[in-house]
Amino acid sequence: MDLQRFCIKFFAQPPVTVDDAKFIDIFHDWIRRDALPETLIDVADYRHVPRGPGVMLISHESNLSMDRGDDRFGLMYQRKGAQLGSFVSCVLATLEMALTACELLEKEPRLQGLKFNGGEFLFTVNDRRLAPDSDATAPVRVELKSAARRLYGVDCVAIETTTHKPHERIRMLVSAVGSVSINKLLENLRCRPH
Amino acid sequence: MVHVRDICGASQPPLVGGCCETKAEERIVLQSWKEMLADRIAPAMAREIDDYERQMELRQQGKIDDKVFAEIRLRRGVYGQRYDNGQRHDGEGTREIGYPRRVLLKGPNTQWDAPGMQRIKIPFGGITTEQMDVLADVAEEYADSILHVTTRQDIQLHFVHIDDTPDLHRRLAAVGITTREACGNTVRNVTACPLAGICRDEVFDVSPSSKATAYYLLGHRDTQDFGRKFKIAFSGCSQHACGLVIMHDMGAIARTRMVDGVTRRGFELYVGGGLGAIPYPAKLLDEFVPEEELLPTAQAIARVFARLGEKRNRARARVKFLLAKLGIEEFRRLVLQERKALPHDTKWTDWITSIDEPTEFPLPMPASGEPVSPGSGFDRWRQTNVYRQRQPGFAAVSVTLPLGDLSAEQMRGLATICRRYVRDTIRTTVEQNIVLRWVHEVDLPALHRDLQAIGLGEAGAQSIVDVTACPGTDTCKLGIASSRGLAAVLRQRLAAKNLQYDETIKNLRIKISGCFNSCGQHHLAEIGFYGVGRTVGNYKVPHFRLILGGRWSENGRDFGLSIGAIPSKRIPETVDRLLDRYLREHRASEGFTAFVTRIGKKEIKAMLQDLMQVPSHELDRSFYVDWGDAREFTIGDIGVGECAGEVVSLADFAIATAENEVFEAQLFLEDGTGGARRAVDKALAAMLTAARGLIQMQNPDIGSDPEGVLAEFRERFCDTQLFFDPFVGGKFARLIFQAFEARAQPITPELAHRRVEEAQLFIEATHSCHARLLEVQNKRRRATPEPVLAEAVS
Repeated sequence: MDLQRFCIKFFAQPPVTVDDAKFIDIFHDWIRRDALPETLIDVADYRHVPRGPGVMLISHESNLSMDRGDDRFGLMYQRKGAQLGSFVSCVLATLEMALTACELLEKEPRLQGLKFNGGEFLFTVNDRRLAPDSDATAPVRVELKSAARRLYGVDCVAIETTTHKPHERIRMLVSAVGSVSINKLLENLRCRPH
Repeated sequence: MVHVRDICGASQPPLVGGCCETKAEERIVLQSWKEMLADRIAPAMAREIDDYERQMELRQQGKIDDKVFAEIRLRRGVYGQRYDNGQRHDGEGTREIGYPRRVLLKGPNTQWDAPGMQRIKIPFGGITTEQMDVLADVAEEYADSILHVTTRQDIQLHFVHIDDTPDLHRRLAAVGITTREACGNTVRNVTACPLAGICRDEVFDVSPSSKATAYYLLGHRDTQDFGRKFKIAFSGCSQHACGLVIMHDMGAIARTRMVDGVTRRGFELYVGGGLGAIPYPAKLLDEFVPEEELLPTAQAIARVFARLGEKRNRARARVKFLLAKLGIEEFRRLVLQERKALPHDTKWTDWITSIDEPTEFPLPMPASGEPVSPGSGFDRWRQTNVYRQRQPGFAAVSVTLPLGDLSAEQMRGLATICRRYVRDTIRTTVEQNIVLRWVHEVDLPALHRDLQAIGLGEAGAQSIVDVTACPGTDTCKLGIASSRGLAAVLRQRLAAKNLQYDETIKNLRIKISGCFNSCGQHHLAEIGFYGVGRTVGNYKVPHFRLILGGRWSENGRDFGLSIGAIPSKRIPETVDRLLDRYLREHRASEGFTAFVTRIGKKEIKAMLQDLMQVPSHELDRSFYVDWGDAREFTIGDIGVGECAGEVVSLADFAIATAENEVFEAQLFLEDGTGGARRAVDKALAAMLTAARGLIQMQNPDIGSDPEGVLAEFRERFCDTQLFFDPFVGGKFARLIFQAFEARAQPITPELAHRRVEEAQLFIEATHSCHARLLEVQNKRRRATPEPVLAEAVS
């Protein structure tokens, strides 16, 4: 059984002054327009849950939400189903989908210039068979490093483990030097050899 | 356990900030949950889950019929969810959802790959911190990171793929939770008052008896052949609502009796209650069932239900219908007969041997070493969320969960807080909250501070702002209107006015269902709503029927009745108006329901009449979009650009007249002597008017003779199934024939109440049928343009 469940979060650049209600309209539009290359299903409204996932776009492949966890607003992409290929190629495919969503939101006039910081992202292993305190997390780090190098096109990528509590999933903050635009990252990914 | 094929393994140096070349890209292979948890799951539970997983494989191979598999998965709590037929209206039209394996079904018209709901039974609401952690984990990994507490103390996860359910079940089983019989035609979660054992008013603690009943009947051979579900509830007292015994198939209220100078425990036992489309109060089966007779009596009831309950017609397959058919005396005789014939089972009394030993303990010392000064909002939180236990020095704390939801992170945080302040003395509630019991009173300020830190320190639990709602159109396949969307709006508005602290109205309840099926328990609240649709012009408009007359007390004994349908977007104003008038005009110590009765429903309706109107689509489109949604509230192809003006048909007029008549019937109910008879007659008249209106769409010359109307209605709408509901078939059509056949029978107030409910449902079904017929007409019109238009275009 492969490790294939993970989440990726790209943080919005502050200051963020977005009314979450707008994501309801936007995500419904995405479904109507087939804006993402996924099987889009529905929009879930969790704005009433304090520090919850806010408004969520549900697809067969993922849950995409505007997340306020860790007190940092951003786009959380949770990959759900099985993917084909190596761990690195799965991570890259997931990154591409998350970035595509970020790009769509950046272009969205209703969000008044919402921008994401492509220079870092939070990677979460959404599978507790891999315990955070296990030595076996090292291979994840190695493979994630490889994926990050492809994403940023440079070798100097830092990975910091941010898991602190026993029940937390493995979380790694991946950062490149300086800020990088979402478009640039998508270019890097789309040029990669398949 | 991780295996990585052909890559650098654990011996690799730390890589933080470093640059290390890896070898070829590989897959990271993990041990399965089945292997990892093999020694932590009870063998019987492990076997059941393995069996279920095998049945999933057989279904995928086509070796199990989809209908059979549907019941198999339902009995594991794996439920369908909205859009699982692969179709969704996106506001402009109905579109296919391109699930990957469209031909593979997990039930009739239910696609395998469509996400579903996982219901998790929590018997009597009792839950441990270890279980809370695992529930949080599975919500994060398999669902959308939200846990939902239901009105029957279950926990539900949404948007779960069926392929993930065996592992999900294994992880729950490893901490002692089974999802077995959470859905399907089985004994559902056994509920109980969340204050059992600590309540100041209870006769005795019903936790042990509810737990014993839950586990005795789970998987019991006598509970496997029901025509529908069977719900059981326990309460420690008669006066409060917490247990809701009166709305259950079987309900038990704690009682004691002196026998030979010894106080004996037992139960006042009720049967045949239920909400659903038409609420039935449970009937008293036995005023005192000794505790040692509880389980055999429950078993005997189950046997009678399995043997004689309806099996083919699901709409009439609950115990309440069997009871209505047999009468309580005959039902009682049959139960006693079954009881006598049962072979002895030692499990009937095993649970009693340890009943006097305490099952819960507080922490020996408060967690706060030094006094903690109360934080902001503490006093108000204490006022609404803290219950003083009968055990001096201890309190039960309600954790307010908006709409019953909390995030996985909050659930995990709550488990950590529980470990700090209590032992595993935690309960879910039917009001969709979580209660921490046995909190040292001196710990309350610190506990409040910690709850605030995870976003769960809100006041107002079990108050007017703590609005209950079923899933409605968010995820339920049967939802008509957005109950949760409305609940969220009401909650916000009422809390902004601080009504949860207003002594006069803070204890009123608002409960909302997305359709007539009552999962939100709307009949039991002082102010209830259930979702309906209306057609205005060529557009659909979400509405809610306002229900007044219920009372959140006495185990849910008083049911409300509908005043009328109000556009969803005008419900907040409706609530404001009702509350304002009550606050202005109520007499001293006059409850809300008594106030409504005094001023009369006619006056209430008149006061709300203007709010029942819907502005045209051109004037205000917001009325045609539901709360928390962006799509136009339409189904089928009725839509933009088709409107050729407001057309009010004979059917429109007739249905409106029927609405008035059924309202009059309600008023007769309040009349006292003779009122019941007049109410029944008027309810039947309302049904006939509505039916006649539909017939007029096909035969404008139909007369008003009841027998003629019924004959044509049968021929044109029943034989053709045009009137049949997509989900419950001919259930509503039968109501008019039954009412007509029983028109000369003796009437009781209870029967009259039910007949008025039935008339309302029939009229509601008439609205739906009318809308469906209009859709068909519109489709035809589009397919064949009218000659004049066609000529103009050409």
